[in-house]
Amino acid sequence: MAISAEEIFETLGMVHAQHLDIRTVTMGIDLHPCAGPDVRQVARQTYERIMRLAGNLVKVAGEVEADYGIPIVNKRVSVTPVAWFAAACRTDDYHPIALELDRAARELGIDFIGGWTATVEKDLNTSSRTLIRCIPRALAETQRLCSSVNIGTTRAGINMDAVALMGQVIKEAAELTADTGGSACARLVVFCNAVQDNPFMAGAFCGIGEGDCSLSVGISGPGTVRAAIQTLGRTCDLLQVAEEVKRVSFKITRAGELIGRECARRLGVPFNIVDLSLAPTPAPGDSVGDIIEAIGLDRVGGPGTTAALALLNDAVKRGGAMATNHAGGMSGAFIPVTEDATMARRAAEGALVIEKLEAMTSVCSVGLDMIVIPGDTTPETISGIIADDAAIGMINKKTTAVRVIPAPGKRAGDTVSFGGLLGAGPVMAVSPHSCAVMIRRGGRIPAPLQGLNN
Amino acid sequence: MTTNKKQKATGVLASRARTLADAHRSQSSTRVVVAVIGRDRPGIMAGVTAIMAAHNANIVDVSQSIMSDLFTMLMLVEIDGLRGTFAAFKKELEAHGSREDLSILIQREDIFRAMHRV
Repeated sequence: MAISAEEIFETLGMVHAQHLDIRTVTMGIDLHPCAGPDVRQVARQTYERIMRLAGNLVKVAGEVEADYGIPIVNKRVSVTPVAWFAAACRTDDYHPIALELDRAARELGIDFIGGWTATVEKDLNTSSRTLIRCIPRALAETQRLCSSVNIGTTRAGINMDAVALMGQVIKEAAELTADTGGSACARLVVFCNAVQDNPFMAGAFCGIGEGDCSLSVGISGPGTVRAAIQTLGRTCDLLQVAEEVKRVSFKITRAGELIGRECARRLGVPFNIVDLSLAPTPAPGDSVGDIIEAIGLDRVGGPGTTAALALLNDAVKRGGAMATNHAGGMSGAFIPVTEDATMARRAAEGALVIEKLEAMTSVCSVGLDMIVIPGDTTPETISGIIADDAAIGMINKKTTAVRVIPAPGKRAGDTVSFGGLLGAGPVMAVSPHSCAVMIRRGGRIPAPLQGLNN
Repeated sequence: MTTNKKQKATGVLASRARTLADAHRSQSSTRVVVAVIGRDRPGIMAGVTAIMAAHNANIVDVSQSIMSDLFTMLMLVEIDGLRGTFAAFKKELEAHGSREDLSILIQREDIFRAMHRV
């Protein structure tokens, strides 16, 4: 056969033994045509448009999954940031739109719908203020709605008024869902340099310059990368490790693109991007932490972690970029603590701390993600954490994000479980020293010189 | 060899290479790879090919090897003329595998091409 037996068995091994899967197919839908002055009518039109365009998403994904034998774990929808298209509504309450977005998601059979979003990197306009004020209730009263707020960019600097506000919003969302460990916060991301075409939740939205409707794919497969490194053994040099990661990343990106294109073709929508991110799940063998340890660390979180992650993140990008011209989204390695069994375990053991995670965000594609913190963490401290990670993103011209859950009534060392893909993890200790005076100053951290690149 | 004979030999070789390449290229036909792995004993191939025949699946290529006790077989199968659905075909093969203590894995061919060719 033109493809060798060895190659065939390698692929079969990746799919059947190493958890190669397509993490998500996400349909991006432009909701600008739904804009209007009556919020209830906008909400209804939003629901109708999503149902019309995404009606077959789950069915088609199921068929492609059956045909190719590679699981498509999640089917999702991302929409135009609500703060953008609801701006013409004569109301100070966007809640009806939240309910209709959630209803559409439920009836479509998808697990998340992203786009309860505002972009406020320079200033907070009226619509954005409304959206942000509505976040806690919108998340508390829905199951599938995901929210994000972009508070900074390399070009604009960091909006510290928005950062101060988001610390309070996160606390409020946690309080409203105290009975589920503050779970609303698992669907809320605060970004710096948010990307316009991210297919992963909770930060997905259909951004600037996107088409009416398109399909993107988010691949994954940390298990395949770990298996490849383990096959190399413990003594080969790091160049070889990087090469192997690159090769495996090429392969999984190709698989993802093929599946994504086929889904797009059957749905009759344009194919958008492949997000070649290594995204873990709590399932055994599906951990990014395991990959870092396979590179040669006793415990992820110890010395060498940031360097290993830098090698991994870059190798993933290289392989992916060779595999496709449609790379986009976040494209790198994700480090969500509760969603990664090994990271959660090391955090519980005290080997992985928040300060190390902050360093790691400077070399990977996401940020401080799915981190449970003590319920009594102050809003100003949460804002400080957001500002720190935003500064890393702003200065380094990359995306960073914060998704922290201040679990009401919980203290450092306790455990919180969210279930499903959101996983479980320890409550991580946060420094007790206050930054309230800095946060209360408000204003903006100005754009760095890196942003003045014309 | 005279020039004429050389040219003729080259021509035959070129045309044979093209024929083989065409035979292995998917073109417009839909093909799947069926892998069968298990403990070697008589009747494995017969059992699987019987299911192929029953569903009118066209076997395009087969390769097999037996290492110690382990039997592995790869078949390239055209499914355009399948009698019934692909889902039913796949299900019957997998059920056969469960009954006979064989791993039977079915994967569309284009996945392998996409993953293993630059």
